[in-house]
Amino acid sequence: MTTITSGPPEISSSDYYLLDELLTDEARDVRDRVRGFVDRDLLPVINDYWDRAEFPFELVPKIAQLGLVGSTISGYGCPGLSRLAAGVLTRELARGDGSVNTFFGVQTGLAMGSIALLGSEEQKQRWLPGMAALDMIGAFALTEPGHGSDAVRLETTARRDGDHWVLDGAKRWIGNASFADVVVVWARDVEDGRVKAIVVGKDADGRYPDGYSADLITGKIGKRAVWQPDITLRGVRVPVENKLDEARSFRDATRVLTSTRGGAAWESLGHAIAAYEIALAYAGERQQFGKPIASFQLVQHKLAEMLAEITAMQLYCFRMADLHEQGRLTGPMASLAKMHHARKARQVCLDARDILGGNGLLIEHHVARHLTDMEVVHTYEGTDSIQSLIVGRDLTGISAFT
Amino acid sequence: MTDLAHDYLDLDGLFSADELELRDRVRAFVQERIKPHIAEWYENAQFSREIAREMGKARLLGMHLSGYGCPGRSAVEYGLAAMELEAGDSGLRTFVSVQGSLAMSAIHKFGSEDHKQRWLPGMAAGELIGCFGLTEPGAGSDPSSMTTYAERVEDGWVLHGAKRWIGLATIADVAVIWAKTNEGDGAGEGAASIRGFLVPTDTPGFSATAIEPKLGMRASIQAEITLTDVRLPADAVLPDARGLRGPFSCLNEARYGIMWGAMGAARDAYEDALAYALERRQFGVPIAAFQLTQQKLVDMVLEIQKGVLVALQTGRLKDAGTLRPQQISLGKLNNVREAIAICREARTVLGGNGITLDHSPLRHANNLESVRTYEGTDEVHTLIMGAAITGIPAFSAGHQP
Ligand SMILES: Cc1cc2nc3c(=O)[nH]c(=O)nc-3n(C[C@H](O)[C@H](O)[C@H](O)COP(=O)(O)OP(=O)(O)OC[C@H]3O[C@@H](n4cnc5c(N)ncnc54)[C@H](O)[C@@H]3O)c2cc1C
Ligand SMILES: Cc1cc2nc3c(=O)[nH]c(=O)nc-3n(C[C@H](O)[C@H](O)[C@H](O)COP(=O)(O)OP(=O)(O)OC[C@H]3O[C@@H](n4cnc5c(N)ncnc54)[C@H](O)[C@@H]3O)c2cc1C
Repeated sequence: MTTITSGPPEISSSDYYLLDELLTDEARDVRDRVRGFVDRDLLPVINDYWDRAEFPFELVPKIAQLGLVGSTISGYGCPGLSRLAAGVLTRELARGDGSVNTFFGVQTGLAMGSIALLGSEEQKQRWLPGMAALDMIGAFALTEPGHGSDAVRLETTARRDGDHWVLDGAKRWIGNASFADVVVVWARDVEDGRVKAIVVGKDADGRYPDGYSADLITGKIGKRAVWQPDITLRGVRVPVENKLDEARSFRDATRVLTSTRGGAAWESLGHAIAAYEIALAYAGERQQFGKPIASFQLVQHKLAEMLAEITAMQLYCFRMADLHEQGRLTGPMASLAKMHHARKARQVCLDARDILGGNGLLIEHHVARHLTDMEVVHTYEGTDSIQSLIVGRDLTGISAFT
Repeated sequence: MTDLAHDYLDLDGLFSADELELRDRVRAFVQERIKPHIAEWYENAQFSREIAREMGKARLLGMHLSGYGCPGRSAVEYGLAAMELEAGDSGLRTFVSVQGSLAMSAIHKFGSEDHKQRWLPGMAAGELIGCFGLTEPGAGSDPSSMTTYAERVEDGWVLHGAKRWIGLATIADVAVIWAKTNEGDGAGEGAASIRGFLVPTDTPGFSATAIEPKLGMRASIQAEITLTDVRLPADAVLPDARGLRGPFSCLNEARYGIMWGAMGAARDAYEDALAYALERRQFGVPIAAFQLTQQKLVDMVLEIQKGVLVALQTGRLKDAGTLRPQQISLGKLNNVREAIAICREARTVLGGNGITLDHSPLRHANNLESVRTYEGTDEVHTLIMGAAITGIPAFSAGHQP
């Protein structure tokens, strides 16, 4: 006979189906390490950085100490995590804070991911170990002022001039690119019209090459504790050996993005878990009409719905990780999860905010931060509409983008 | 012919020339005085004291009150003004609500002749600022559980307690404080003993500290008030308010304004998204050319048109003097809920640019989270309507027969 026990499961109140029992030892270890960092180092300081729109440089060495930068990449000082462990890592970081998770994602998934996927052996040796130690910070410059969803039409140019590539153009929303050591710039080769990836680095004195400038985007409402500048490239000269060897067309940029898109689904899950756990705890404590608000039907219903979404999201993510591990995850499959999770997690954060009443407006209760950060997740890595069109094209065989 | 993009059902045809004239005047005020500065005010979390005087000059404070220097406009006119102000920013509309619908209307409805003479003209001019202290740290949705206490002593009253989330309290000249008393029915305990007090904010023992940092409503001030041994003269009490009926009748005024205001914010977000969609090109065409974008814009228009109709009907009932408080809940609940959905959808149309203060939708959406909570949360209005429909109050579920 099965027994139904009451009371919250031990590990975490959001893991209602005890799904973390399905984790491998490796993934469980990653979970605990990241959770320790989040609870001990990140949560106590993050709200203040977020409020002031400052990047928490003090956390960088602590992130490095986790030994998890580089995530699924093997060798070159990277931990070679399974897809499941990598997903749990993202979930736990986002449960702490979206800005720090974005910093980590740009470094690991986008910048290091490009080099690991498209760099030559020499290029991997040159950059990855330093990046894994966070001695070198990376950035990934694809989006342009005129091209976000249709990045495929990007206009930044690369012109071969002897031993150099010369870059001209503008990029927008490029995380870390105001201080990064390794900026992977996607540009169109004027010769063959194809998109290539060229690394702009700093010189020995830590200066960017002439013609490279970065202007922070200010007045952001979400993800305030991580910086994205606009960058301009005016005749920026980069040695030929900085072109990633295997980056031959826009399709290669898409390959990098496909493997990070699943990350945005895990990230959404992390935000939803954080918001739900905060709301559940608050509802148990807050009294109105002489009893905890958790005793009202409308509140219980909301909590149950949030949990149902979280449990479903979690299952999606586990399966996605398995398929990814087996090499069977397609881009559209990852898109389906990203689209679904971004939408659901935004709703979970909204409901959590509501349960906190006026206090939900205050940064000190964290929910407001998760809610606005979710707005960003909803847009980046391909918007809601774009994901649905990627899936739609896969289903019907007909592209509806244009 | 009506401009379908901006007034699909020709709702302008439902308003009188005077009403439209007033609306256009407020719209121009918002365009000139609020829009150019709002991103900065929001980012810096600042409320401009000067704008209060300008609103006084523009006759926007205590609009629907008569006499004592107040403009004496209709409920519909007041609603239209709230809509335009909130198209600027919910924080500025909140200022007008707190000053006019809460603080001034409490004095106007329940104050003595002396109270009215002393405070209302200056408040209508924006020279004096008022605030309204009902909510407490432990009493939000359920104000009857308030613990702030006013003791009747020989030469007056002594107030003790704490209030939370009180708009404008740090810059107010006078606070309307609701407290339980040792007089009347249910002395000291029951909600029936609740009275309102006019507390000049320079009275010893009164202090206010701003609540920060906030996610939304950053261009407005809310504060925590502490009242320690605040001694007031006997005539500080509002003579004509007893029990929660007093503060609730003020809340009804403010809730009414909110249903219009929310639609103003929604309209502004929609207009921003529409303009952007027509201009922003992806895949070689304006994004307004995509079906999914058109659907988003159409859904916004549907809800804005309906929401304005709800507000207008409520306003006409109010002007006719037949509006019942439970009817206000329908508009507050519906219009704020829809406005949030509209602003969030508008935000997505703007892509990455939608998360900056260069565009209004996410600012509005974050502001509206406050609006959803104050003046009765979604759940509270659901339960007010539920009680009206079924005859059974379910606020403290489980204890009813
Ligand atoms: C905080 C943040 C960090 C970021 N970090 C990086 C980074 O590190 N590197 C980088 O390269 N980029 C980065 N980005 C950019 C991000 O990837 C883009 O914002 C995203 O791709 C959307 O592009 P866009 O903002 O130009 O929106 P647009 O593409 O202009 O989209 C506007 C609207 O049009 C819709 N739309 C577009 N095309 C279609 C269509 N065919 N059919 C229907 N609807 C359509 C979209 O869904 C959206 O609703 C970041 C963005 C943010 C906000
Ligand atoms: C920006 C802002 C400005 C404000 N200005 C003022 C002001 O000027 N003066 C003033 O007096 N107050 C003001 N308030 C306070 C506001 O009115 C309260 O925040 C509001 O009444 C909700 O109370 P609370 O925040 O304590 O939430 P709670 O009452 O604690 O509610 C928490 C959650 O529980 C739910 N809940 C509560 N009771 C029930 C129930 N019986 N059944 C089901 N669900 C329930 C709520 O719906 C909500 O989701 C302001 C608030 C804000 C955010």
